[in-house]
Amino acid sequence: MFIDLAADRPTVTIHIDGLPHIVSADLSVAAALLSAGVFNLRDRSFGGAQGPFCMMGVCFECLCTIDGQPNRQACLETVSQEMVIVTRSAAAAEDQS
Amino acid sequence: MSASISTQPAYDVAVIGGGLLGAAVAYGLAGLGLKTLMVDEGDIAHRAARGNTSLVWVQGKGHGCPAYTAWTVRAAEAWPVFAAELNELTGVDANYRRTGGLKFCLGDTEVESRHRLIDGIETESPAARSEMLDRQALLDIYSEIGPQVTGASYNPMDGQVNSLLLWRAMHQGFQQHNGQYLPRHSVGSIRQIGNAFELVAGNETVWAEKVLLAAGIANARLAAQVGLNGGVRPVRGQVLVSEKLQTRFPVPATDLVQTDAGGLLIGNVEEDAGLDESTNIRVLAGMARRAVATFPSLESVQLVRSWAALRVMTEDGNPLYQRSESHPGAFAASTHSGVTLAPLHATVLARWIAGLEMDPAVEAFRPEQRHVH
Amino acid sequence: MSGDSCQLAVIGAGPAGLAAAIEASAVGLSVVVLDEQPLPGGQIYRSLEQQKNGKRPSLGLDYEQGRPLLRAFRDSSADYRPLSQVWEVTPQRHIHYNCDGISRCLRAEFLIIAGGAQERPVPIPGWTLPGVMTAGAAQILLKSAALGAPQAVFAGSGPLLYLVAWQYLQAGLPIAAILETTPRANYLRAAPYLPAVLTLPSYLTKGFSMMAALRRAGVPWIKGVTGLRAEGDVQLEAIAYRVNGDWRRFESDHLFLHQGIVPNTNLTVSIGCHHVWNERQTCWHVQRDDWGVTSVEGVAVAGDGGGIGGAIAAQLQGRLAALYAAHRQGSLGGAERDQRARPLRRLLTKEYRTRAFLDTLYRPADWLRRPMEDETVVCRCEGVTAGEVRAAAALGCPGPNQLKAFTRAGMGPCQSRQCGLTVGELIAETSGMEMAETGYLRTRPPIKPISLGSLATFDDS
Repeated sequence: MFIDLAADRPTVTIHIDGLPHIVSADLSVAAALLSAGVFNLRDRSFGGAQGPFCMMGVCFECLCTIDGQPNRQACLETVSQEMVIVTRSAAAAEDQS
Repeated sequence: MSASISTQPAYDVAVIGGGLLGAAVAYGLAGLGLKTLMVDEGDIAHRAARGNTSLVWVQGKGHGCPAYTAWTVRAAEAWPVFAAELNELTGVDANYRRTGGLKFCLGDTEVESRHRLIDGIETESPAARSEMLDRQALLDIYSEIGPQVTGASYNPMDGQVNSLLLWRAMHQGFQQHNGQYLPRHSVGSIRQIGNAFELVAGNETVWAEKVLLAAGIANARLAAQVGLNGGVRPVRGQVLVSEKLQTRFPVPATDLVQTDAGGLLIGNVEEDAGLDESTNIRVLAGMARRAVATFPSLESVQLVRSWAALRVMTEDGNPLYQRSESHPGAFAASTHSGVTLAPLHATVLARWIAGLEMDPAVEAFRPEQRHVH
Repeated sequence: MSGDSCQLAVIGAGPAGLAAAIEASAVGLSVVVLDEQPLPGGQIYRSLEQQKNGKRPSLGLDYEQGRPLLRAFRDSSADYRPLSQVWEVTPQRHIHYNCDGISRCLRAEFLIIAGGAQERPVPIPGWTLPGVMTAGAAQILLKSAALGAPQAVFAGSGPLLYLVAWQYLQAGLPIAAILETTPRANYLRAAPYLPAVLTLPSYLTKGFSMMAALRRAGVPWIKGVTGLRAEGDVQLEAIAYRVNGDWRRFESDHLFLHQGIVPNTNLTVSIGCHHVWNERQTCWHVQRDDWGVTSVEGVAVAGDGGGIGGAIAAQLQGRLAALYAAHRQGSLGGAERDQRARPLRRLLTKEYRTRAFLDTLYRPADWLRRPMEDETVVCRCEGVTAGEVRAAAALGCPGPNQLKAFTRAGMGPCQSRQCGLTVGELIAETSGMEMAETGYLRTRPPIKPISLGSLATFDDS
């Protein structure tokens, strides 16, 4: 579990796999996912449960659909108000339903 | 160190080249019980084997050379048994599937020109008949094709395979049949001394009763040493590779194939570029445009790799199988279609080289048999 | 598109790139700096400009030292383009990059690549479980996001590991343990290089005071660790470690691994620069002369991207490469260039003096370079295990490129950034070759993903 160490920061509301979360406005999407407790970004059937690893754009495990754009590196994008994020594990579950 | 004429050479056959053609023939020869050596270059070599798009392809082949069309059909028919045997021996499933295959046509000109080609082939070889699909029929296969796609040619004999697993399986099968693999050695010279061929490759010298040149574009420099015709030139193929997709593309096309891992192989434009193996962005961009025109939903798909590889092209585009008159026991083989023809290379061609049969189908591809049309 | 050109392009806005841009623009060159992050600073000075945002814990003096550099960069005339992801550079220095979803092209007369380094992969069983990250990732979360994980385990070897643990301490985060894998034999091997380090006392006191603070705080520090496993079902639950032959366990949701950093070579390899194996740093280095110029005309490398040297060395190398570029473009005479270079070279020599000691002391243990357990995942993207890599190598694969064809290791989106070194090590181990002989993977463009749609829009008419 990651905890917030800096008080008094502006926040935004983002949507992760259909649920709203309030997070600090200066976070990368990957950091926002971690702060919201979402660790598993990849579906088991697609190669195994995996989550953000390097936070700097070299591992490609934080790929998410961000505002409709698939396979964005979440650690290289900053959150914005009403941003819609779909993780690959959620997307895969949807495909199978 | 030299071999005396009475010494028995260490190998029955030395196969120069460990690509799709060399590995297939070597696997076949070793399976026949011949003591076989496969000599291969290093990790960074012009490897056509890494430059194909995994297609087992019949349609469009052999226009003007019915022997090639027949050879290709025979290969397609031999694939299921070949794949099963290879899987049983090595445990490697190359995932061959006869899915049927398409060539998309964007616009009337492309449709007409494609129609002419497949009609021409059908006249020469009725068994290899492909059919033209109009847009309506195509929509039944792919409902999401773009508005510019006016039709396609289709052949039910076409299919795809995981060509890298095929390649790996043939290497493994070869070694399981006691074949010897010598990588990282480029053959410099071949000399016939008595009943044997002496090959010098780097710091190694080997002797074999027969030698097969299956070195791709390097055949051009080796062939003259054993009285054979070099007859190949490199053509550069470029391919774009996409991330793995959840959506399926079950029927492969000449410029769009989904691998069993899920990524798309897009493009395969071929051009004369000498020995330049670098990718060319203008060509890649053109391939990207065509792919998006064919399937507009691919616009947001991420490309994770591109590659360019030098593939083998013979003078007339048909396979070249040669037996040397001046150096009996020396053979050379070259083809653009190392994937499709793999089953025949592992069986018919191997038997031909072993001297077990003189199949007229193989003889048809000797340079002496080429007819001028 | 057709008209975008500059005299000097700099890829990377870390210390090397910033220093190069400042130096070059000061002598009048037109400079463009491309970087994929939203703010300048690279990794070491990441988010430094943002630190006044909210009350944040201290991250140490070395970090703060980046401020003058960032200010000088902002004050310079360099054209700074953040959020620009370079995906191809041709040998003619046409730089293709994505910005705002559009593919753009910049032509440069001279190029300085300052792409920095990444964490060395640490392949242990279970390292792909969610909850396992790098120490660098923990530091990035601390610096940029002000997020920390209480009761995490830090495992590995190298100054960054202790620095992040100390930064966690400053932030008031309890640490479950530090599991140190530095082989005991390394202390003896590094001893001959110690005298050189002693001439830079500030370096030593900094390191010792951090370690003393961690000990005073009672952080469990276990040395001589010879085995590590991350355990859990869908998420990390515990870390098993071996000391003196016995396996023990810490329960934790978070494991931060570290085995030093290695240069990012994908871009320089894709351009065709020659690379050599560096045995002391156990990684591949782009070959460069003492100005940083590579084997490709008009392309230089500065900073950790060419070999690990630290932030000060990176800035000095950036300035030297910029001086070279300026002379080449005619903005600086040869004598003046050499005169300005002299003090920089003296300072660089001083910086290099600590390297032999650090590289030797913190050289990764063999069991971490060459995972012994066959089930350990080597290629994270494709899920290829050490056992599969060894089996393919045993078939006689002449090198990593052939092995990639046979196993798919290196074919995923990360383009071998996480597996390339390990694959090479396992080929060397299986075949008995030296690392220098096995060679490296020929990465190709796009070195970062680009969408089919944006490639389709490319037009250089």
